[in-house]
Amino acid sequence: MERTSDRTSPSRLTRRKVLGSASVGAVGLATAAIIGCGDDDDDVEPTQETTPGQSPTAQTPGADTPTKGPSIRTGGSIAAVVSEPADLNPHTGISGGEHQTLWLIHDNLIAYDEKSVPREDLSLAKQWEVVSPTEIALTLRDGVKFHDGTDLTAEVVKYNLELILDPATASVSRGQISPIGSIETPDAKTVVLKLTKPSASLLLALGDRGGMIVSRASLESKGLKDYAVAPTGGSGAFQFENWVRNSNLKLKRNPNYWRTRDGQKLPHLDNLELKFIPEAAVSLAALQASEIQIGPVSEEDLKIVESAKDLSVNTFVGASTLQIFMNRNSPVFKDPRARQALSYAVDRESMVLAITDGRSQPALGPLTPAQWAFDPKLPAPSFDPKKAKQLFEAAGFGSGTTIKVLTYAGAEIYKRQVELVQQSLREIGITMDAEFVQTGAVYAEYKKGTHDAAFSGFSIRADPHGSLGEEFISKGGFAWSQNPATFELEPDVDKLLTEANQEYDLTKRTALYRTAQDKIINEYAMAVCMYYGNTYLGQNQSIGATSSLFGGEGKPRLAEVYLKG
Amino acid sequence: MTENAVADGWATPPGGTKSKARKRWARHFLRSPVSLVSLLCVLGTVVLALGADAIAPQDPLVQDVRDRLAAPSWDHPFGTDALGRDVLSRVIHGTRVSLTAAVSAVALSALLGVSLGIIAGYVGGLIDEAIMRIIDSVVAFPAIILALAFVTAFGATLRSVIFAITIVSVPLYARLMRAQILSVKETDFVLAARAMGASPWRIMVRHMLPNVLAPIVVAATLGMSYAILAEASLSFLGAGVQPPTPTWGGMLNDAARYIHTNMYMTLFPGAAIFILVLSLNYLGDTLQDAMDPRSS
Amino acid sequence: MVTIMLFLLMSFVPGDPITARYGMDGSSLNAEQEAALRKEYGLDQPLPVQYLSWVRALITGDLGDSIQQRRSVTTILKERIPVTLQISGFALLLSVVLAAPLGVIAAVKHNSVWDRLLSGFALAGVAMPAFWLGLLLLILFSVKLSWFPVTGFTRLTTDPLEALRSSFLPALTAALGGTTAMILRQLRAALIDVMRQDYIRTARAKGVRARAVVVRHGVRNAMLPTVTVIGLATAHLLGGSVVIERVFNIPGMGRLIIDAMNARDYPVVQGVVLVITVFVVAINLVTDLTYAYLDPRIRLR
Repeated sequence: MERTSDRTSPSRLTRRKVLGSASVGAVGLATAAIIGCGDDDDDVEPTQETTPGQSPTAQTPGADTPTKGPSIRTGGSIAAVVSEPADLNPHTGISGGEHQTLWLIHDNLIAYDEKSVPREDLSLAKQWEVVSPTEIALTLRDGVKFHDGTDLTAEVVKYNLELILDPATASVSRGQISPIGSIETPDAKTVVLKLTKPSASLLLALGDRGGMIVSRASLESKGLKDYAVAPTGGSGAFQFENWVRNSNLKLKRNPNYWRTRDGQKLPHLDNLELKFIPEAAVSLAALQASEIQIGPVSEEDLKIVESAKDLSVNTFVGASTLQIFMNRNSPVFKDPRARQALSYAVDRESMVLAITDGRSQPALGPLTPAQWAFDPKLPAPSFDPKKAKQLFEAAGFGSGTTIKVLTYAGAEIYKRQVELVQQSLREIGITMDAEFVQTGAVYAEYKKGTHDAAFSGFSIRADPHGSLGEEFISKGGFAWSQNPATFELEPDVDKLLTEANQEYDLTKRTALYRTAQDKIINEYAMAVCMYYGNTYLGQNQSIGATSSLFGGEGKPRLAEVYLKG
Repeated sequence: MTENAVADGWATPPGGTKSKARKRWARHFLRSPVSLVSLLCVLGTVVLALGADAIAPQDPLVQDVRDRLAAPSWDHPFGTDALGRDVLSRVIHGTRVSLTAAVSAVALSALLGVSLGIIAGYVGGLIDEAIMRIIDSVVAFPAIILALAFVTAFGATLRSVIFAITIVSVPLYARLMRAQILSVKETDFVLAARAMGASPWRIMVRHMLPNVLAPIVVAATLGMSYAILAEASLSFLGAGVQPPTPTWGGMLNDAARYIHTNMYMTLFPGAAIFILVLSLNYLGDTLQDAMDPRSS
Repeated sequence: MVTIMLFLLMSFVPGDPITARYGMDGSSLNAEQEAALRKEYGLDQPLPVQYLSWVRALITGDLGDSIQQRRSVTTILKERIPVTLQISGFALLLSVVLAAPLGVIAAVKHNSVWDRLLSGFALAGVAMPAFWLGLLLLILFSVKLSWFPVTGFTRLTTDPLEALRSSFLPALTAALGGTTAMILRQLRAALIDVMRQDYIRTARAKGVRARAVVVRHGVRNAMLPTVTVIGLATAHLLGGSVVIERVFNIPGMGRLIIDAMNARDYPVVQGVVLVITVFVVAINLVTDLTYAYLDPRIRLR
């Protein structure tokens, strides 16, 4: 099956998605990890990436279907607000907020679209084949040139992948592509990946940072550090021009870009300016003043943007799951009954109302409606204070118990989550003390094991293994649900998830994920899933796009934006 | 934010004797309606803070998400916030937190600053040099950044915020006190007391302190307004007091998220800060004028 | 001194630059990778050693490398300093322009309604938290009236006119948020003081017109104490930049230090602290010299 064709027609979508993901999968990475905390910029920025809202149905109205009506103008400039990257070298970058910028400059070996479907028409590999569970062969596209003028060859791909695998690079993608044992290049256009173990999720990992290919010449002449500041060796739709930190980043058309859309050369625009604005209120002001044409909108401001006649909102449903991670080493939460109790004490409906203005939905489990393994019939705990009280008491923690939690300072959504849970717990006699720590220190603080629980989000990964494996396999990458002393979790969940990642049959894989999720949220209560976070992008009516404004995982992907002519 | 005011404080020499001063102060307040109103506002805030539980119509922490973001009405004269809490009650309870922060920060920094200032001024020599060197280095540095570093290091609790504001205010009182001490050290009555064999401690407490108290009071008034504003700035920078404690700065920062949709929401916590800070400033001015023997 | 204090303070700070940079997902870097990075940035050394090596490098003009941005701190500061100075300088200018006439009027009409009104106006800005004032000004002047751009900072050297336009609102917010009131008060107090002096009375008695007295004698002499407040105002503006630069999205030192603190990027924090300290000290020195120049009594000594 292993072969994915390039066109995606709506009627075949479900099947295609399934096919694509069956052969493929992502060890979802670390990179995007926590909502909002990918941004190293400052604490309020999380809300830009994660702000909740909008009915949990339609995705990207307006932008999803290639626009008819007004004609596409070639040329022109627009400005967009995205979250600010910390490091623009795909191999040394760190935050999930960087993809929005990286995707414009670099292409992926295998790229996926907003529905996490791998698409040959977007990828540097024009086809790929899973030769055996431990061997993947990729055929590279002809005539792809990097911005520095050098050609894409198998040897460059090998160089990039080996760079990531080299511990000295300190790449966060290393774990993600670690099943690759060796890379062979039988000819200039063929790359053969030999895996050390079967991995159904490896191919989608190549659509993440780990599969972004950079010109070897540029990496070598600049060095990894300098490339992080001036990425001039991508093959993407736009070329890097200039980056003023905390202000803006200027991109210009790549005249030799290999992709076309409906016979037209991409990109449509001559110039794209990315602006970095930490305050949501200011970003909206810029959108209203038409100083930017695309920008994130916070839940608070959705109504204004929806009612403005020159603006509209694009919604990505289920970009993240907002969760409470419990320290399995703490006196309270080492007992599964106390963990279940906390889950029953969360009033998810109120949370959806108070934080997302009713636009999101209560979480059933860690996987969101945007992921193919999402199961709308998963039996999930819902608000039941009586049951919560009973379970807490059964675990030996009655009235008067105090639990200590940790979350991000300066991010409104976490503050509201905490305040809502504080209220529910107060009603059953339990005090919850919250400590709000600056974004950059939350995980370091949590790892010390002095807190009972932490509120954090987890942004979705293209492959369900990325989400579940990272979070719930012992010693997984996103260690929040683990015992900070031993990083151990539940052996039978470990087994189920590992098995699922080696299973190439989709039906079997789906069934495995269902069982695993059930155990994760009910039997072991490994994390409390509260609600799904949506992403909103405001857009000016003067622009359109020949693709969705969202790339995978609900991150803005602006390569095909155009000005209406 | 009101370091300026304090600059005035430094420049002000201590005014006459106690009883005379008292009369003059009373006259100043009665003569100027603005000062009187300011005084009433400050006293009113104190009353609100002390009686918050009795005065606030509702529990400031109780949420009702079904009634969130309600516009002002009879039930909720200031409307409700994002979690459906009564804003009026929160503003009233916020008074307590803001005043606690302001008063404790000022009291602590005044105590610390005055002690350092006395030691530096009275003992002089190397100790004076050392103390003032440390103090100068703190003064040279923007207070808000120091406060932020402090909160970053010790966590965003009310206590950290108070300590942060204290640390950055200490130099003010120390300098003020030292200058005052130096100016009265050689005056006749101190020299006389010393000649009569009074202990240094006694001289300081009985003779020097009363003389330099007035400018300290002025500085403290203005210091309180600084503390209230500092709390707001720290909230904006994500380093404010953590919820659910209602603070004015925190509430204003929350409301600012709705500045495009419901601008009125910023009005209530904003006005509370505005009125108290303005009153404290006027009060400080009046006190200062009152102490200036020449202005009559 | 301040740098030592901050270094000490940083030792209490939870988290370190490596976990802050890569830390969300802890184990996406394994222990060996993390240790290598710590070593590269000298974070494995004890604190006093780190401080000493920082000072040693400082003597050669090297402020180290930013861990977050992967560039030298000197390069970063070179970008940021002019930005903050542009806004702060403009704010200072605006403050003086606003405060000078108002201060004179307030002093001349001492204790009148005018005096109270003007002082009230100056105080109103001070009494509003800067981020609130800034947002309100932004919505009014940039969104509703479209007089000024919402985003986009322009440097004076790139396009002077556009630079003034893009810096006006932040400078105004900073000016209204403190320095105007600061200067106005000082000027008013000094002027009132001067006007009571014998030589003014003499001038008046000799029949010199009131305006001439105020301008020629009063303002000139009141300048002295007013100049002293400028040093204080500068420190105030630099501190205020952390809020102003965030609201108006200005890539200056204020945003830099907040980001750096958040990312535990100590070399950058130290660098900014050093620059600000040096700057405030320098301004105070200049102020003292100006004072000496303006005051003949001091000059003679």
